[in-house]
Order: sequence, then C-alpha cells, then structure tokens
Amino acid sequence: MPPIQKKICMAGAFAVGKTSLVRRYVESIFSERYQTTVGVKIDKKQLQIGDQQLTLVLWDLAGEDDLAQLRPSHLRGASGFILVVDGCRRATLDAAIDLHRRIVAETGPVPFVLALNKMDLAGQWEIHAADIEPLLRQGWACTRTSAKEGTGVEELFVDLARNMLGPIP
Amino acid sequence: MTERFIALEALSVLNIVALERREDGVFVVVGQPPDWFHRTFPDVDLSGASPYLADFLAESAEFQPSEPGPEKRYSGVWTQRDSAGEERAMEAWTARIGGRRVLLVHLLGEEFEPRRAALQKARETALSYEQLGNVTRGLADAKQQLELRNREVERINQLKNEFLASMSHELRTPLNAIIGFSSLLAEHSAGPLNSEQQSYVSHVARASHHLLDLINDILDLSKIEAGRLELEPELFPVEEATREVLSTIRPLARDKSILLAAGGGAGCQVFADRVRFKQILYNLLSNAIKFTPAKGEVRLHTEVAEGQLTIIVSDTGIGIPREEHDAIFQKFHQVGSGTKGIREGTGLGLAITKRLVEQHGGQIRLESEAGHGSRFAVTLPNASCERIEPAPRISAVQAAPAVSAHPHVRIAVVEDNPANRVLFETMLKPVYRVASYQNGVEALAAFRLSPPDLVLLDIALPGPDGIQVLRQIRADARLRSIPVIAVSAHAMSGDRERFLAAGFDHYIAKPVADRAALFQAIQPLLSSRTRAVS
Repeated sequence: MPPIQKKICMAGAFAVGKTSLVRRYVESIFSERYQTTVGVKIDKKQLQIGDQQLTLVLWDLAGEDDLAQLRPSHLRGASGFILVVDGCRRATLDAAIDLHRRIVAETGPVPFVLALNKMDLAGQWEIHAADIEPLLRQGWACTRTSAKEGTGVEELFVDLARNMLGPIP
Repeated sequence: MTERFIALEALSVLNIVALERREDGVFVVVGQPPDWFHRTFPDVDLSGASPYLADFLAESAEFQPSEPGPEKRYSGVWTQRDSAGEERAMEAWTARIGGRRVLLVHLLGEEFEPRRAALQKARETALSYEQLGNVTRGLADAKQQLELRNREVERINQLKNEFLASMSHELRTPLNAIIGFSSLLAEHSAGPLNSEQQSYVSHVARASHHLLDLINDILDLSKIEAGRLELEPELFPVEEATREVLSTIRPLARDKSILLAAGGGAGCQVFADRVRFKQILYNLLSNAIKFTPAKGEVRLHTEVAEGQLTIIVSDTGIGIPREEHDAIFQKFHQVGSGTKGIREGTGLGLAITKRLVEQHGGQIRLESEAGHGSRFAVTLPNASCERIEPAPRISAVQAAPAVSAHPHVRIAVVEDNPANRVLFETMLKPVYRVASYQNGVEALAAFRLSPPDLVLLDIALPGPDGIQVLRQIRADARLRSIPVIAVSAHAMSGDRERFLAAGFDHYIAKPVADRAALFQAIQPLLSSRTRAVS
C-alpha cells in the first residue's frame, strides 16, 4: 500500500500542553520549560497502522487567547484534530467546546479527540467526570493524557490516526 | 548589475531568500541560496518540503492580481524542522513586481526568541489577568465586608464617644459637689475642724482629685486614639513652663522627703502645645515621685541641642525591669511586682505621655533596671536657645484676685443639682448676693422681674437647656447685656468652643476646684460690665 500523509491540527487554549504532547509523541521528550508557540509549529511522525504506512503532519497551532485567534486557513485539509484541555483549568474545557464548534464549521465532520492533559497533576484538577459525561454522550472521544509522564500520548495519536483511516479491512 | 548584487547581498545579510515563480510553477532562487535554505527546502518543490508554505502559496496562487484582493501576502510565522532535524522558524511574503511573481522567505534567527519571549510574557500576563480577575472579585467582596465592618466600627465608636461624654458629665456633676464641699471644709468655711476631721477631709479631697484625674486621663487617651486631640503650639520659654510644673510637684516631693532638683533650659524656648508640654512634664515627674521611696532623689534636666529639646527625668526609685520597658507605655499598665505594692495612679499617665510626645513629633526613651532607678528622656523638635524676654505670664496662684465683699452685686445660679446649687451658693455668698434657681423657666421669670448682675448657668437643665435659656436672655432687651457663664459638666473636646460660640461670656468646666476658680471667672466680667454701664 502506498504511504499516505494526513494532517492533524492541535488546538486548545494557551498553555494546555499541545506542543508538549507533540514533542512527547514525536521525540519522546518532555521539557518543564514552557515555551509559547509562535504561529504554527509543523512536525511529522511516521507510523504504521496495519499495512498502511502513514505520515502524520502535525499542525501545532498557537494556543488561542486574547492575543491569538484560531485562523481557519490553518485548518484547511485537516483529516482530524486534537482538542487539548488542561485538567487543572476548567476554563480550558469551555474554550475547547467553543473551538470544536468553530473547527467543525471549517473542516466538516472529521475525527477528533478531546485530550484531557496534565493527568500527572490529577490532585489539582478542576475538571471532573460529570463535566465530561455530556460530551461522551454526544459521541466525543475523550482520553486522559500526561505529556510529562507520557501516559496516554501514543494512544491519543494512534487512535486518532486509526479513526482517520477508517475501518481497516 | 551592481545594484542587483547589492540588493541580493542585503537580503542575504537579513536571512531573506528571494524566489521567482516561473510560468510552469517552479520556484527559482534569485542569486545564490544560503545553506539554511538548502537544508530546509532540499528540492525545487517548495510546497512538498513545507506543508505550511504550501498552504500559504495556495492562498497566494496568483501572487496578488492587479486589483487588491483578499489573498494573503504575509504567511505569519511557522516552525518546521530542516533535513538535519533542526527546528527553524520562518515567515514569507509574496509580491508581484513588474509582472514577476516573487516569494521572499525569511529565516527568523536571533530576533525570533525576543519575539517569542515578548509573546510569552504577554500570554502569561493574560493568564495573570484571569487570576487577577479572581483576586479583584475577592478584593471587592473583602472591601464590601470591610466597609460594613467600618460602618459598624464607626457606629460603635460613636456610641463610645457618647458614652464617654455621658460618663464624663455624670461623674463630674457629683464630683463638683465632693471637691467643692471638701475644699470649703478645708478652708474652715463651716467652722474649725479638729485634726482628725481635717485628715478625713484631705482624704476625701485626694480621692476625689484622683477620680477626676482618671476621668481626664481616659478622656485624653480616647481623644488621642481617635485622632481628635488637636495641639495648639506656641513658642514659649522652657524654663517658665518647667517652673510652673515644679511648683505643683514640689509639695508631692516634700510630702515624701524626696529631693527634687531641676536645671538646664535657661533662655531656651520650644514651639509646642504649652498645656500638653506641662502635662508631659507633670506625668513624668509625678510618676518619678510616686515610685521613688522616701528620702530618694528626682532630677529634671532640660537642654537644647541642634534644634531639639531634651527633657530628662531621672529618679532613684524602684526602677523598671527590662522586660517591661515596652509594656510600661501601654494603657493601664503598671510595673508588676517591682512596684512593691505601689498601685497609685490610673496606669494611663505614661501611655498618654508617649502619645503626646509622638504627636509633637518627638520621642520618649527609657533607661532603667529593677532596683536602680529610672531615666526617661523625651526629645521634642522645634527648640532654640536664643535669648528671649519671658512673656509676662501670671500664674494661677498670682492671678487669684483679692476678694472683697460685694453685697450689692447679685449673682444668679441656675443649677438643677441640689448639692451643686448649695455648693455655689456657699462659695459665693461671702462675697456676693446670691439667688439660685433649679431650672431655666423659674430663673427667666425672676430675671424679668429683677435682672441679676451675672448668671452662672448650668447646661443640662430640665426643660429648656442652658443654651436655650441663654438665647432667651439675649433676646430680651433688658437682660441681653448680663454676663452669663456656662458652668457645665460637659467637658469633652469642643464643648468649650461650642458654648462660647453660642454666646456665653465664659465657660467653667465642672468640677470647679475651689472658689478662687469661680472668682477668677466672675470678677473680670463684672469689672467690664461696670465699665460698660458707667
């Protein structure tokens, strides 16, 4: 099967850990030092799903806040997206729900995953199961991750890639 | 050719690569591309090497048509890895120059980090705004709580002031009778006393004066703490003020056979509130005498240096343990076991003294050890030692007028408290013809029949109060020129000013210490009335 390339956009409020998740997945590295993303950070990761060689082109979009707004043009051609939320900041879940609406308006119904990041700080979480339940009922895929410890990161990207490829014969 | 070369050099220095898009869609680098460009875009297909650039170029396909349109000319910043895995941040522009479609790709080098840092800072600040929002909301709640508490404190403070005014009035009224009658007894006005009776009377007098001191101290302290004590500074000779205090203190020292020595300060003057200055001195000296055993020594020394007056009061008394040096200036504190049973005084003197000194902008220091005496040093600013002529000042004792009988002068006493009415009658009768009334209505009716020469008018009267009675006196053509003295147990800050503003000719606070105090107020008014009439 010829290799294929898929674009995934990482979106979420600022400082939720989008770049850290990509870095952990692509380079298996986590850095405590926070560096804001300017513009868009492009990374690639090759993986094999069944017989399919797949290159994920990861568009790590700068976190949305008062200083930077999501640019719809950056979403063009995306086969899937990951909404990243900081479990310690309730407001980032609200931001993700809003982003979901705007992204889908641009990309159409593509696979996506809600990543509840910073699982290593579970004791400080402001987001609880009751907050997520309504989203699960709407069919959202949600997973808990820790870019710091690597928990759930590989699964996050691989599961999304599988969904993007559709059912494997 | 040269100009083109210079332009390319300049672009190279700025890490900018210029590319021209041919008709077939292939980009051709203008000039010699730098290494970084080769590593980032290893083949001619720029789009393939950079998904981000491909996206941007897709939006800029025509590189701006002749009419300005919505197409993008600037890519924004993006980051990607080069063939060596090194992350590079770039930005790009498209332009149409003379029919040629040009792409400029800029490698962000050293300038990228400051840009990132600035953005990071801005984002962190934005986060802080979120947190600040919470803090601000919290502060608003706290402020509201604080305002409620402040209102409550103000209300309680108001109640406290009203309570103090009322207490002061209620205590001064009976004290007036106690102090006044014991003074009359001591003067043998009601016949001679035997030594035992004299001793009893002096006990009554001492105890009642102590009670009066306590009331005055509490009022002073509450005024100071409420920030309502206003100083009335004036320039006066230090020696003169100390002499006046020493004349009051000497009898206390003499009673205990204590040597009282004073020196220094000759020719010096200080800009301070004279009354409060004397209060500071009196408190320190009386305290020293109180805690110095018989046959001990109390010394007062004053000196001026560098515009500062230093007052030192030292004694050979019981001393103050080091651990109590701070507490000694607190309210109601008296040195514990060290006082050896001496529990005289209110425990407010030093607290008041310290606050008075500080309100003058000065300091008070204490050096003492238990059993080795004490040394209080007070420093006050605004002092000098230029020779000045002492202002003619008549001391209270000197001012006491010689009292001769004036049986034709009619003094009216309007006072509802029977004991005080009798007291004033008794004090005045040897000199004047006295008529007393228990309320304003009765007094006014009598005045209209036969106007008195002077009225001593209480304020808190049943029916019309003293101020209302005064208004009626001033409204009556036959009575309006009669001197009226307010004699009142209302002795809080501002009362004096209030009564004088209401039109009283003079004000005497109860308790009236002795008949001399009364005559001192009455006689000048009678003299000026006589002059005015003649």
